[in-house]
Amino acid sequence: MKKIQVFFACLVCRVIRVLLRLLGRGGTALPGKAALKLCPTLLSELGRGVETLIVTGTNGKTTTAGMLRHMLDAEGRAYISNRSGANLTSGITAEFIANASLTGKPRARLAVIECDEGNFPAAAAALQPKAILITNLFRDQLDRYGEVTHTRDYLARGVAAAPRAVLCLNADCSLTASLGEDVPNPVSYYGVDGVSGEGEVSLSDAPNCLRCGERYAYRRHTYAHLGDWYCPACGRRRPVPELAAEAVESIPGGGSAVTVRTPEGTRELTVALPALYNVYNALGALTAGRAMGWDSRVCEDSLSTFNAAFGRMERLQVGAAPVQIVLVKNPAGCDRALEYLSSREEEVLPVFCLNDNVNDGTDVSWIWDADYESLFRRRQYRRIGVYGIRAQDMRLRLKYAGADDGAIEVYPTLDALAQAVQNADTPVVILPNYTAMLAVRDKLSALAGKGRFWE
Amino acid sequence: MELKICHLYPDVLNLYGDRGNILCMRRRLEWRGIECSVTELPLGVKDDLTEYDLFFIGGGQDFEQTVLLGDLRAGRSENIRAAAEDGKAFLCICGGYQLLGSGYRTADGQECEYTGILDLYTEGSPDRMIGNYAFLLGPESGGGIVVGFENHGGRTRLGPGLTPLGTVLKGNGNNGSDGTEGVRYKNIYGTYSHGPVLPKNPAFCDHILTTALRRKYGSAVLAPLDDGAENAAWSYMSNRLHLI
Repeated sequence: MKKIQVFFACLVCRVIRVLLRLLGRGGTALPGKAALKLCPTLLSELGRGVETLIVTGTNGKTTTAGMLRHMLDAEGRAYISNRSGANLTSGITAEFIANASLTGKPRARLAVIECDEGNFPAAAAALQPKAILITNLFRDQLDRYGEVTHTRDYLARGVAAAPRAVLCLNADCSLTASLGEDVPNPVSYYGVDGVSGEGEVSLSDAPNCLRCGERYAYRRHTYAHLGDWYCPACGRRRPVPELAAEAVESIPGGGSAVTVRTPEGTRELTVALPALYNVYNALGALTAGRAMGWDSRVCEDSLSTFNAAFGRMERLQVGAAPVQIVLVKNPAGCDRALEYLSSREEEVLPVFCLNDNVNDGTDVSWIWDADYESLFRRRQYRRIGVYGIRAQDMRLRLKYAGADDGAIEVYPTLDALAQAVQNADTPVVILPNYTAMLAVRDKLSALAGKGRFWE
Repeated sequence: MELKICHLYPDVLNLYGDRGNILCMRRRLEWRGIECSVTELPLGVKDDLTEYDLFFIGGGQDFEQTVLLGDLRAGRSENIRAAAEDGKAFLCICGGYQLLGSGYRTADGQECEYTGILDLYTEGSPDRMIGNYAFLLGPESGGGIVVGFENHGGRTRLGPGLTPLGTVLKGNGNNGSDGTEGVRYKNIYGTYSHGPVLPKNPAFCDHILTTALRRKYGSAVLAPLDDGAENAAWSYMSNRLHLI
C-alpha cells in the first residue's frame, strides 16, 4: 500500500513538473506540494538510506551549500541537492523525487540540502540527517517569524527531531551556539579567532544572555553580533571551536588567505569568494564536510576554486558593463554587501532593488537598520538606480542616508532597469532582495546569454 | 534653536528599523538649520532625563522587553513619568508604547508590570497582527493619513480618559476590534506603527518636532522642505491600501 502511494505521489509530481516546464515556468513549489498531499510521509520514504547533510541558518545557506556541492564534485561523488534554492519542504521533496526511481528508490547515497528555518523541524524529522550545519541567526523576515528568538525556537525543534545528527554550529553567533547546549547530539563548532572588527557591537540582534538576561561582553568582535562573546554574569561563553580561522588576509582582486587551526594541525587555505562572511561560510562547509566524513584535504583545496552561488556575488557581462549581483535580504547581510560596494573606488552604478513579496518578507523596514550611510560618508554617486515593488521606500532610505535625491533614478519596469544596465558606461553593482534577485537575474542573464536559473 | 533627542534603550528596543525615526527627525531639523543632538541611553545608564526635549522609545522582542523591567523599577519609570508630565515630547513605538501602560499579560499568562504612566493595558496573543496598515490622525496630532507597518501580538486597550492617536483605516491598530490606534496624551505620541513611521509621513514628523520646539521655545514654525521622495513613498502605500 505504502509503495503504491509513494509511486503515485512521485508520478504526480513529475507530471506537474513537466507541464510547468512546458509552460515555461520553473522553480515553483507546486509539484512537491501536490506529492506531499498525496503521501505526507513521502520525504522520509525517499530519504531513507540517504546520508543527508542539512544546511540552515539566516545568512550564507546557499553559498555554503554551493561550497559543499563543489567539494563533492571535487571528490567525484553523486549526490542529491536542491541547487535551485527551493528550500521549503515542498521543494526538497521535489528534489528527492527527481533523483529517485519510479518506485521511490534514491539514485544517490548522499544529499546536501539547503533548508529554510521555518521548514527545518519537518525536514529534519523526515530526513534524519547525518549532520546539520547552522550558519548563523540574524533578524530576518520578522513579519514571518515575529522575532529572532522565535526563529531560534524553530531551529531548536529541528535539532530535537534529529538527536543523532552531528551539529555543526557557528560558535561566534551566541544564538546559534546556544543550540548545542543541553542536547544529546555530538556538536562541532567553528569560529574566527584572528580578526577583530572595528567599532563596538552597536546594533546587535542578540544583545543579552539567553540564560540570565545580562548583556554579553566580547573579547573579540568580527561583525554584527558575531565574535568571542561571553556573559559576565552567569559565565556562559563562546564554545571552543574545533575549526578556527587564526588569520585572515584579503587577496587583491578578491578572496581571502586563511590560516585554519584544525585538530590535525594548522592549514593554509584560499577562499576564492571575497569578504569575511565567506570565511565563515567556508569554515561552516569544512566543519560539515568533516562531520560527514569527507576527505578534508579535498574539501579544503576545493574552496580555492569555488566562485559564486546563485545570485550571490555573481558576475555577468551585459552590454559594455560588467554587472555584479549581490543578494541582500536582511541588515547583517546588507551591511556586508554595502561594505563591498564602498570598497569599489571607481565610478560604479549601484542599483538597489526592493520587493515585498511573501518570500522576501512583507516588512521592508529592515532597510532602516542597514548602514546605507556608509556609502555616502566619503563620496556621492553620479547615478543611483532603484527598482522593485518598494522602489520608493528604497529611494527614501537612500535620501535619508545622504544620497542626492536628484541622482536617484527610479526604474518603473524590469525593461527600464535592463536598459539602464545595458547603457551603463561604468560597472554596475546590483543589490536586490530575494524575489527581485530572481527577476533581475533572469532578465539580465537572458541578455548576457546565460541559462535560466532552473536549468 | 536646538532640539535634544534622547533615545531610550537603543540596546534592547531596536527592532524593525525604528531607529529610522531618529534619523528622520535629525535630518529634517538639520535641513532647516536647527541643531539636533541625539543621546543614546542604554539599559542601566544613570540619567535623570531632565535635559532632553524629545524622547524616543522603539520596539523590541518580548525576550528583550522582560530584561527592561528591572531597569524601569530601579527609578527609570519615575524619571520617564516626570518628563512626560512636564510636557516633554515622546514618540513611542510598539513595545515602547506598551511600556507606557500599566502592564502586559503575555500569551502564556505571565504578568509584567510596566511604568503605569498611562491608563492602558496590553494582553499578548500568539496570533500576531502583521501587515501594512493606515490610520487617520486626530486633529490634535495634525490630522492626515499615516501609513505604516504593524507587527504585534499584544492587544492594547485604552482607559476611559485616554485619547487614541488616530482611528484605523486599514489593518488592526491597538487591538483589531475597537478601531483605535495608538495613544495621545499631553505631548506623548504612542503608536504601533513601524515602517519606520516618520520618513513616509513627513507631516506627522514635523508635527512632533513642532510640538517639542514649542514646548521649549514658546513658538516655532518649521520651514517647508522638498518632500518629493517622502510623498512618493506615502502615495505608493496609500494607493496600494486603496486610500486615495
